Amino acid sequence: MIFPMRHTLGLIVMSFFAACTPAQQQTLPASETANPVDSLSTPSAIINNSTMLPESLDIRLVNRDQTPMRSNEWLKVQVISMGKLPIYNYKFKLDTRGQLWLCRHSGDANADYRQPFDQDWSDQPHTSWSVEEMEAARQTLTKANFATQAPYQLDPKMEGGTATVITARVDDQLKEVIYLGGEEEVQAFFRSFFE
Amino acid sequence: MGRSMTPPPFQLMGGGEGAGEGNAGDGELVKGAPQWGKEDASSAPSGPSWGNPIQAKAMAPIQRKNPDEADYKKFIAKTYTWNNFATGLNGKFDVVYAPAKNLLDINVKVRFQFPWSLQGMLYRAQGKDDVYRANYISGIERAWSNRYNFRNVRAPQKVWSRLNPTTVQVNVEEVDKNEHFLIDVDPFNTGRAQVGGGVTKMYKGDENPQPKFNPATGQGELTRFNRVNPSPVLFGANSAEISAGDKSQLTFLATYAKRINNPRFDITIAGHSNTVGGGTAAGAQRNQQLSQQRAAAVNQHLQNAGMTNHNVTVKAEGQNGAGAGAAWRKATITPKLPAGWQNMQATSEHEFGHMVGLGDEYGGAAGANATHYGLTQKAFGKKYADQVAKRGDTDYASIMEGGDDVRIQHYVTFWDALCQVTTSKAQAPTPRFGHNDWKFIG
Repeated sequence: MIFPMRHTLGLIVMSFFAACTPAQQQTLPASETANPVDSLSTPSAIINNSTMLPESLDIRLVNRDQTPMRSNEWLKVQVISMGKLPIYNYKFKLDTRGQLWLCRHSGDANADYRQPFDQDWSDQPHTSWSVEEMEAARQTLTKANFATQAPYQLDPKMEGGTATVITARVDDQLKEVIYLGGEEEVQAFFRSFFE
Repeated sequence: MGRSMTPPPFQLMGGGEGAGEGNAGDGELVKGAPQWGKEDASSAPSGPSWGNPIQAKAMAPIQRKNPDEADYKKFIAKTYTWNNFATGLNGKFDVVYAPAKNLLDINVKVRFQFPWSLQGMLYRAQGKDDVYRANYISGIERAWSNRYNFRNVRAPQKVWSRLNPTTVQVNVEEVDKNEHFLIDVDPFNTGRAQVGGGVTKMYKGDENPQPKFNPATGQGELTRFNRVNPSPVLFGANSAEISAGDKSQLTFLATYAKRINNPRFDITIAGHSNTVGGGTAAGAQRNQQLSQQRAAAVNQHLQNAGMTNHNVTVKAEGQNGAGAGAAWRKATITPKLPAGWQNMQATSEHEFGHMVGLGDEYGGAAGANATHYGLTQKAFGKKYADQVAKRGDTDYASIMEGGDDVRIQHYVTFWDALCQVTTSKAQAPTPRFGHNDWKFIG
């Protein structure tokens, strides 16, 4: 049976949203939240996309955070400088209730640029996103066709700049896309919160 | 393509009998020899074969005097231009080669763009954009111009060496349209500078070189130096003769080191001897002299190979602390960073490297080639390219790694541009100049 492409995409997007029901979108004050490490269930593996990544992947991207996300975490964003100074690198992750954990580079200019992050996640969430913000995030990913996007979005002519690595839950698995260069709205959206 | 050997009508050179070789014009005819060109030289008869000697003298065949000289005159009469020369991932510039001036101009046309926000308008109203433009242009032209020269090696050098040295002037020209690069400046926010798609994005602070950037750079420089350092150089008994193998390695070390402008190392060359025969005062004195000769021999070889830009101290250790083993018949070469040296990173100048076609020498996959590896190999050979144009190697102060030193491999796109513009745009010489005719000085 031939399935029309638009139906396929629709199913993927629907399953993508299934991980975050409206009930789950209720945000709680940050002070009432628990450490995600304490609170959870089995980590989810990232969809195995290694065969779709270039063999010559930059060392900073090889060393990106690939730690499995907990089942109540649905989004992780890593912003990694492709210059030689890692101090502006940061990453954040969101759980299904909108709690956001932020992890910045220590700011040590002498740190090895090949390791994009040199600090652990904080114990407490940095902030919480509102329902509206969560929805905006989901719509941005949908608009970018994140669920079906190839895992490596490379502008082959870009030198320097910033890579954005987005991991989000799709169909109960974690989908990761690396953006390097380009002008995708999805990059601008997720980087607008901390830059 | 032989020329006629039939005696043509008698003609005089425009410059008269006294005109020297350098005054001969393009294709001017002179008396006194058959007019065969280079291709015919091997088939030229041993002497004139026509008429009696008197007639032969009067009717001497006419030669196109020195076709290389004619080609030279033809070559230097013009200026050669290649607009929008594209190279590397992002490189684009205009090439203008004026052989009569021994000058290669690299012209990069840029258009600046500053934010249109209220803050940006205030910035412009205060004239800060003009200061930015002026500093950007002067900083890049200063960093990138006249760093290395080229020489033409085509034979006969009596003719073609007059093209040498060819100097390089890098010009950044601000234009309103038809730019090679839009310089998109955000002077208010920090960010990661980048070059792509004809746009160079610059952020707050990128225009100022950062002092003390990445202190690991110094150690990286030493690591790279020692990777090609044959120290200790071993000698035979009672000898200060360097082996052929060590000579070759020392020559490569000198080649590598002479191309480093920053840092300038403090290098100690220490000669040693073992204790054999040193039991007497005279023997110890002999060993002292031997150690001096060994250190001097190593230093001399390095100097002769061009390593004259670092601070070298030569020491004779004699048999101090030595044993009787052959391992003490040696000279050691130890580099140090100069006191107080610090690495400086120059972001604007680094991004400009991308704009002239160079790639990053950091990051990437381990062992990957920088995008200018191929040209570096073509210009300097694989061994040298492996030392300087690989990504993910140790830190060092190269402008395309993490420092501010424009090194010789960073002129390879200019070198390629010179080769290509003279190959494809010039009508002389025959055969046209190619990459083998142009070499780096240094």
